[in-house]
Amino acid sequence: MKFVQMARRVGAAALAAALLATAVGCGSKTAGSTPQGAAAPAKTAEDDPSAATSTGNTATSPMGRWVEEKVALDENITPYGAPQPMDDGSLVLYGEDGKTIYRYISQDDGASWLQTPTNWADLAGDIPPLMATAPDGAVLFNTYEQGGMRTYLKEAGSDTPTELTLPEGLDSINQMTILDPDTVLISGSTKSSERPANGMEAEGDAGTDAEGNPVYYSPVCAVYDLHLQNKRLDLTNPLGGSVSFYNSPVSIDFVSGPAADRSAAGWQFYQITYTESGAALQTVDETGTAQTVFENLPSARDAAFGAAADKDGSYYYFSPDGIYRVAKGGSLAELVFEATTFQMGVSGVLCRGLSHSENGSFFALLANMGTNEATLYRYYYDETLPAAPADGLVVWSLEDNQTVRAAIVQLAAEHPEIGVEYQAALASGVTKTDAISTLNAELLAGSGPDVLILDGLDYKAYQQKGLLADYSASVDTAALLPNIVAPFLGSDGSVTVLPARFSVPMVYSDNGETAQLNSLAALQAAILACPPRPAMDSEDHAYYENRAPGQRYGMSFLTAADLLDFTLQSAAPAIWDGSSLNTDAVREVLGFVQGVANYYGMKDYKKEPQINGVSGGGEGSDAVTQWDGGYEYGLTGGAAYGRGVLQTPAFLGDIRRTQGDAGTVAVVQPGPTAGAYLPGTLAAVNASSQKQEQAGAFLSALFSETVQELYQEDGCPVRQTALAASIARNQSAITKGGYTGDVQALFATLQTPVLPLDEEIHAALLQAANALVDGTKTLDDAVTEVQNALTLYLSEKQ
Amino acid sequence: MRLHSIFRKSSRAGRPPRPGQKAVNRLAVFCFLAPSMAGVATFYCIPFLDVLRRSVADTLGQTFVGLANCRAVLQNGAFRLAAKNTARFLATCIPLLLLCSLLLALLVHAAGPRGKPYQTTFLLPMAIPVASIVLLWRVLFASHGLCNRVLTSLGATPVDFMGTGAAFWVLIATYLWKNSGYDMVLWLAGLGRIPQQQYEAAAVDGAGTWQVFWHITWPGLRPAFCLAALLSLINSFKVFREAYLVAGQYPHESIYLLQHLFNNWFLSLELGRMSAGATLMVVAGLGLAGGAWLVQCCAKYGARKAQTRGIRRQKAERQGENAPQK
Repeated sequence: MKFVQMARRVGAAALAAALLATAVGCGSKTAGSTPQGAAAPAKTAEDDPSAATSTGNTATSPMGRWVEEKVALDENITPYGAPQPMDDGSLVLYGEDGKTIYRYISQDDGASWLQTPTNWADLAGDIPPLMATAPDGAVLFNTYEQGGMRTYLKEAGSDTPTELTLPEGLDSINQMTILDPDTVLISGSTKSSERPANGMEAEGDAGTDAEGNPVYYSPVCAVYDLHLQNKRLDLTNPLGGSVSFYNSPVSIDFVSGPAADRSAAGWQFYQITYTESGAALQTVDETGTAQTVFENLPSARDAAFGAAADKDGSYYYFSPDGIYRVAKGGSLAELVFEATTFQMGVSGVLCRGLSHSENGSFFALLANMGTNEATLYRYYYDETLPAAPADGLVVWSLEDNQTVRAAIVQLAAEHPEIGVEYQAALASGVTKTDAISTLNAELLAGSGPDVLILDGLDYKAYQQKGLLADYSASVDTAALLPNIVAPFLGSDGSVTVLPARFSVPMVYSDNGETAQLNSLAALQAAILACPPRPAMDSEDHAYYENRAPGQRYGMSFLTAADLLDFTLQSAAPAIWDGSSLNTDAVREVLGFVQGVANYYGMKDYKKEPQINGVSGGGEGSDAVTQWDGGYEYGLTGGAAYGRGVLQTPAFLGDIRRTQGDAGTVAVVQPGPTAGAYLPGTLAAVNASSQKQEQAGAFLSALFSETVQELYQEDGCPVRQTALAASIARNQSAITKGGYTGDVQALFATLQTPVLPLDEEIHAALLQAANALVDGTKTLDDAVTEVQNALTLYLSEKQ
Repeated sequence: MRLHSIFRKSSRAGRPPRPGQKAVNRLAVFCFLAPSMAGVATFYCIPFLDVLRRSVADTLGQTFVGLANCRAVLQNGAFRLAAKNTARFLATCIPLLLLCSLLLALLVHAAGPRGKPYQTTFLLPMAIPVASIVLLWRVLFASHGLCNRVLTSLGATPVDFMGTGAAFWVLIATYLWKNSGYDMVLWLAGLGRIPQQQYEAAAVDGAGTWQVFWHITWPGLRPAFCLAALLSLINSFKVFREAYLVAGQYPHESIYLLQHLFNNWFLSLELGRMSAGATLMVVAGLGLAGGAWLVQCCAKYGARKAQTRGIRRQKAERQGENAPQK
């Protein structure tokens, strides 16, 4: 045989082998495919248990996963922060029950705690103290009583605190971080009677001294000895953030993400600086030199109060993704564990403290931004658990949904054996069309996700094609708001889709002026009865002008899209019933757009105006965001009527005018549809799913009291008791806001779910609305244009 | 090794086949074809059978609905429009493409070695990614695009290329621009196969350019024509990508093709209708192919008959000449 022939045959055999190997490889599963939240640790490290794997079970399945558990303290104990790892390997934590300050010590990495009352309980003031604990047991803390602040030091080995006198140039302390046994980083403020260059004028009681003279505050950041007698270093501008509290005249400046680096010679600390390009990690040493050690920390936006460092100098910080670690000298920020199924990953959670024990566990003090309640959680790596729970449930939605995430956390707590993989399709960067195509292909092939969140999709199509399963056995519909869920229930009591949240489009005005607003025409007449709105946005001075009652323009609208989307919140079901276009309703909507736009002269408005919004909250009530429609009514006082979408009952307390208030009355937005509401988190189960039972457990969690009561800034709960609790939670804010109506009665008027129109119909309407605003088309032409634009769309639906 | 010897033995011309040789040959052929047959069956035949099944079933493919889907599709205005546009597009662009590319090929062939660089140049559009073509399309044909600027500068009225019937011709132009080079290469391959002696003999006989083309070039290009036509048909379905990326799910009516409709039906879960539409398309395609085959058969039959008649006439004439004169 010739050499060439042999070479050819060997080559052919190699190619055939490669082909065979590829074919076999195509059929095998990825070795590392595990549901999110049950992911194995990101990287090995000598001192980190996350590196450990169980050798006993590796032949069958990988073992070990991170576990979240609530730290078992007494129910009424409020921890002051995350536990401090001590030099002797124990953990120390302080907390109070409103009367006594307790010390908790754990010798088993936080699994159990020994409670002992301190003998300085009488020092606790009106507000929980600010406290910093050193590894040797020293404690530095502030107490507040009747507005006054006192500072104490409990030295290591002693159990009796001594009061410290604040040094000159430091009048209040906002933040304390102990850097070494005799060094503390302080950020606070100093006051003076003269306006400092970088200070702020405080108003009200806190801004005047006893003689009524103004007081000015300016931020201070310095390193002192533990007795606060010697200033070791004045840090000129290391403050990474500032926060203003509701009704508080004083802003509080702080160092973001501070953590002492105990591996350095002398004292040194980490801090995060936030710039336009992202967050950077810096070290500040004894000379005050700040050195950037890591550019662009991923997901570090929420790490301002949640950071820690271990004895090797590795830096850890909180994010909704999980805990990130930056090894000292390392160039990679690694995710130690994912928080998908943990409380940490739930939206609206603020980390108030983070610590890392020598055994590798983490402790995070998480506060709910709605209720303001803080809970301490422990995160540890359990080698005895399988890396991924046996039952992997796939939950799918187009966009990331925080209520779904809360339900996943709840399910993990109730059923640890059920693992959940959450797929937010658009988060992976695909287009909406591609995401829907993929979903449809899977569903029609009899596979696909087990649980579907159908927000942004035509849920009726999935329902009519028989792709959704009846899950009436998993959800007690009698416990839900009957008027909200009734349109979704089958005539035989079957349930294939249910909203887990809902919002309400509202219009409001001064007392007595909303009573006649019962139709779009009436609203238009009311707007036209007021002076026209000038061409302005939040970049113009006129925007902030408070107008007298007779001088106020009707309602805030900035663009044609603004006008159209407002009307569609109540008119969408009238325009499109799923099979035909109602030209009368189109005419009514476009007529409103034309009438208001012409009256306002919106042709001369900016084509891309500056959108303005403000978020508020506090005193235990939920956060509320107001956009221009509410801002121009309540905050600037320019508009006679306000508009907005109610996502929490706290909305009703947030809509009052801040100046010249005469009380506000809100009604559900009038329009062609009576009692309009916007359903959200539309949950369904894939009829082809083999995991109906687990899907039922997930839905049970989604509609449970615990998840429904959580405020996720995505709507009101549909569970009756949860809505009642939400109203009760926000009642003081509602009352304070001057809303006098019956809140329950308001919710009882809701009867028609309004879902967003299909993109094609919306695009056709928007094109017509733009033409009407620009004055390039008559109303008749615009209606005809909409009909023409939708000819193909309608024809396809025949 | 075994197959090699089988072929070597079977190719020995003139020798009578050994007993069982035919069966071995068939097995060898089957072995060679099996991988590709398996691929075709897996990725085309079985899915197509599933489409056939779903065309007479509901969305989930579980309930038999007879011809309801087909009836619904035939009554659907969007389907009729899309089918009409698709047929119009194919009927316009394929002849135009074949003609243009043939002209280019003849020119390049006539240019001889100087025409070589053009072969590469004309193939360049095929190497341009669809996204770039779409961008180019927008730059050229947008309402404030380059074409309208040129028109305006010449004092002409701007044309709404994508919002009027002009969109159809934009699509045709794009298709021609992109595929002419490829078809030209196919034609050139066909031209290269025509023996030079035939041209020389024609020149000796004093044949004109048209006569040479009609009697020598065109008959020689027939195999290339079939290949070019088939590949052009296949490529014509790919033009949907450009139309979709530029104009979205609902373009101007003139470029609303069957792929638009099927894509939209899939998004709205109309799988039964989609399958019925696809089946109807295949039936129409098979009908056309069958018609073409019949025409070809008739033409061959006619030619054979004419040939037979000619031979008979020649024989009769020869017999007439050889017959003893009385």
